[in-house]
Amino acid sequence: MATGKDLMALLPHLSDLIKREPVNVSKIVADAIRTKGVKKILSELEKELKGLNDIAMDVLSSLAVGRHVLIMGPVGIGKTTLAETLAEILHISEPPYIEVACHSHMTATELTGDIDIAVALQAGLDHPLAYIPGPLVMAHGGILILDEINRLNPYSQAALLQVLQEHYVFIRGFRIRSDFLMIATSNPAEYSGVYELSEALADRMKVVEIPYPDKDLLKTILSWKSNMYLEHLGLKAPDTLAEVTATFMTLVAQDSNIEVGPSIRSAIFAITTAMSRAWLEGREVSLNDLKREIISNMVNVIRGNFANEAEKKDYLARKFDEAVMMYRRYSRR
Amino acid sequence: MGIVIDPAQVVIKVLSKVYEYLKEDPRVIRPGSVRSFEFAVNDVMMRIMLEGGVDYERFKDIVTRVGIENLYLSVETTNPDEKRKILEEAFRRAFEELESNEGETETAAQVTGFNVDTGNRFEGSSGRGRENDSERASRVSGNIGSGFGSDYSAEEGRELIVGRSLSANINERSGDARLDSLISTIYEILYSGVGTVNFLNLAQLINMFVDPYANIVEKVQVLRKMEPYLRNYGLLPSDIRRSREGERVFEALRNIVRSAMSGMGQVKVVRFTDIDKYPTYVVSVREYKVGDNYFDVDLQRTAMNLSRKIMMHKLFTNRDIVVKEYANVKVIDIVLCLDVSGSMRELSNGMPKIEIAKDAVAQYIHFLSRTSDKLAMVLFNFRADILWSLHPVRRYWRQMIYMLKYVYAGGGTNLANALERSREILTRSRSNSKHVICVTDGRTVNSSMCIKEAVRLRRGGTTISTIAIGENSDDELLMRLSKIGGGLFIKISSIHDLGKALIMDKLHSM
Repeated sequence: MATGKDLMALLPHLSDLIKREPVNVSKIVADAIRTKGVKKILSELEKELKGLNDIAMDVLSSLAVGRHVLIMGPVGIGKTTLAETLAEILHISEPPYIEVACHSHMTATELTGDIDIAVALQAGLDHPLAYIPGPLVMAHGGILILDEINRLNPYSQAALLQVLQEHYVFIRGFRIRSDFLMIATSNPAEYSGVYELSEALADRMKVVEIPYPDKDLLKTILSWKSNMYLEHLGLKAPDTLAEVTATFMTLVAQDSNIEVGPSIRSAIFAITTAMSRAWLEGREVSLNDLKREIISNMVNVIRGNFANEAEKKDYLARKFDEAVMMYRRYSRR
Repeated sequence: MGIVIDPAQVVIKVLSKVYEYLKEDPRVIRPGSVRSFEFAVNDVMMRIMLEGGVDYERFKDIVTRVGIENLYLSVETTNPDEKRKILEEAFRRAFEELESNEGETETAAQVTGFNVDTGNRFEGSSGRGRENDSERASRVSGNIGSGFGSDYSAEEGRELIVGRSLSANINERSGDARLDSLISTIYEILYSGVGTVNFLNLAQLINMFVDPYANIVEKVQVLRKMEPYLRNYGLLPSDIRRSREGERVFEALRNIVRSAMSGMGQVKVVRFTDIDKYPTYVVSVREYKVGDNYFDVDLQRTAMNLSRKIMMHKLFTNRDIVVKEYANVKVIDIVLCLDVSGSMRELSNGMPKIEIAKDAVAQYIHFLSRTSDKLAMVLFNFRADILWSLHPVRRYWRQMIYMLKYVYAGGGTNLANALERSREILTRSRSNSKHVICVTDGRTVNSSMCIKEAVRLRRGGTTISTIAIGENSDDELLMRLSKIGGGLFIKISSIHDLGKALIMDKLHSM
C-alpha cells in the first residue's frame, strides 16, 4: 500500500486547511441514509449489536438533522461499539470516523493540534509536519466520536465548544473551518472521575440512553456473543451458561446494595473464559467453572456497599448460587 | 379527513405546550433553550420519516421520547433525579390538552396518513433509479401539501436539474457547442471546486477544446475565442491590454526596479553533468584557425600539447591549439515545465511571481528564437497539461509569446505529473538530444513518483535541469532530480533571476 513518502503526501498542508469550504454534514448523513435505506442499516447493525435498533434510530435521526448525540449508559453495554458501527455503516467520509478517547488530562491543543515551531522554522509553515491537525480539525465533513466525554476537563470542553458553535478552529491566528457531527459516549454521572459538562456544551447535545437489557434479551446477547468469541476454538457455549449468567446479572442489577452492576462485556468473557478453561483441561464445562470465572471477571466491575474485596466475592458467590437455584426451579417447571 | 393537519404543526404545538408547563413548574429552574426545542422538532420529524409508517400511539411515544432526549441536558430542575419524571409529565399533559382540543380521531388519522406516504421514501432507493425516487418525492409532497415533505422534494428536484445540466456540459464537447458551454464550464472550475484540486490551469482549459498535441496555431485560435471569457472571470491580469497600448513609462520604471533587484538575488548552480558523459555534439577535433570561437577550444588537449612543448623547450604554434568541431545542425528538444500553482500568485517586489516568470520565459523564447531548437511548454498545478507541444521556436515564437501572456496561476503542485507529460511529449520526438527544465517554487505532492519519472526520462536519453525559486522549494528533491537527469540544479533566491537561470541552463547545454 502506501509507502512512507506517500503517507507524507496524505498529510494536509496548513494552506489547504485554511481554504476549506463549509460542509453540510447533516445533509450528507441524510443522503447516506436515503441511499442505504433504514432497513439495511439496521440489519447491518444487527451483525454487531442486538436489541439496540430503537437507540440506533434515535442516533440516526438526530444526525440527519445536524444534532450532536450523547450516548449514555453503563459500562460495557455497547455505547462505543454502537457509535463506531453506525459511523462505519454510514461511511460519509474517509476514514468513516475520527475517535478520541477522552481523559481528564487532555489539553485543548491535543484536540486542535498546534504548530510545531521547530519544524516550521526549518521547513516552513506549510510543511505537513509543521502543523499536525488534531481530531477536531481532521473530523471535518465526517463524524467525530468522543469516547467518555464526561472525562473531558473544562479546558478542553471549551475548545470543543468553540468548534461546535463557531465551526472554526483557531490555531495561532489561523482560522480553519471544521464541520462535523459528534457522537459522544458517557457513563451516567454516578461514576467516579467525571466532570460535569458545561451548560452551553450540554445544550448542543441530545441524550440517548441505552437501558439495561431485560433478561431474555440479555440471554440472547450473551449466547450470541460468547459463541462468536468461541468460534475459533470450535466450541459452543451450552444454553445453561447463558441462562444462568443472565439470571445472575438481573438479580445483581436489581439489588439495592449495588451501585454499578455487572457489565455485559464482563459477563460474555466470564462465559468464554469458563469455556476455554474447560477446553484447556479437556473436559466438559461445569457451573463451578462459571462461578469462579464470574467472580474473577466481575469483582472489579461491580461497585456497591461492600467493606472489602472478600465480602464482594462472597456476595457474588452467594448471588450466583441463588441464580443457579432459580434456574433449576425454572427449568424443572 | 378533509382537513389537512401537518404533523410538524402537531409536534410544534406539543412542544410549545411542554415549554409552557416547564416554565410554570416550580421544580424547574430553567425550562430549556430555544435551540434544544428547535432541534427537538427537527429530530422528531426526521425520526418519523426514518421509521416509515407509525400509528398514533407510536407517534406519541416518539414525540415524548425524542423530545425528552433533546431537552434532557438543557432543562434544569431543582432535583436532578426528578428531571425525567417532570419532563414525561409535561409531555403527557401537553398531549392530553391537545387531544381534548382537537379530538383524538382527527389527529390520529392525519398522522397515520402522513406516515404511510412518506414511509416509502426512506426504505432504500439503492435499487431504483434516482429519477424514480424524485418522482415519488414529488407525489408525496403533493399529498402532504406543505411542510417538511415538500421542502425535501423541492430540494431534491433542484439537485436533479443541476446534475443534468452538468452532465450535458460534459457530453457536449464538439465543435462550437463546446465554446458555448464555456461559461458554465468556467463557472464550474472557478466556483464549484475547492480551489486546490479542481483549479484548472490554462493548458488544461485549452485542451478541453483541442487535442493537446495540436499545432500551436490552432491552439492560439482557441485561446482567442476564450479570451473574453477568461477576462470576465478574472483569470487575466487586467493590465495586458493597457500595457500594450501605453504606459511604457511604467513598464520602463518597472524594468529599472527589476534589474536593480536582480543584482541582489543570489544564484547558486550545482552541476551534475559529467563532461564526458554529457551528450555532446563534438564530431571531430582539428587545429586552430583564425576566426574560431574561443570557447570551442578543447582546453584539455590544448593544455596537454602546450605542456609537452614547454617541457621539450619548443615553440608552440597554432597546430597545438585543438578546436572542437560540432555537427552543423544541432537541434535540442526542450520541454519547459512551469509551476503555475497558487503560490505563484504571491507578490515579489510588487509584481506577482507568475508575471515575472512569464517575462523570464518570454526572454528565454526570444533567446531560443535565434537557434533551431524546438520548445514545448507544460503547465502544472495539481495536474499538468501541455500548453503547446514541440515546435521550432524560430518559426513560432510569436504564437508562443502570445499564449504565454494568458497563463494564470492557482491550485496545488504536482511535479510528477509534469514530468510524466514531458516524457509523453519527448517520446514523440525523434531528436537525439532532449532536455527538460522544471521551474518550481514550492513543494510537490508525491515526490517518490517524481524520482521514478526522472529515472524513466533519463533512460530515454533526456537530461533534466531544475530551477528552484525561493525559500519554500524542496531543494533536496530537485537536486536529486537534476542528479538523476544529469543536468543543472539552479537555486535562485528571487524570481527575478529566472531569466538569467534559464539562459544559463541553455548555455550550459551548448
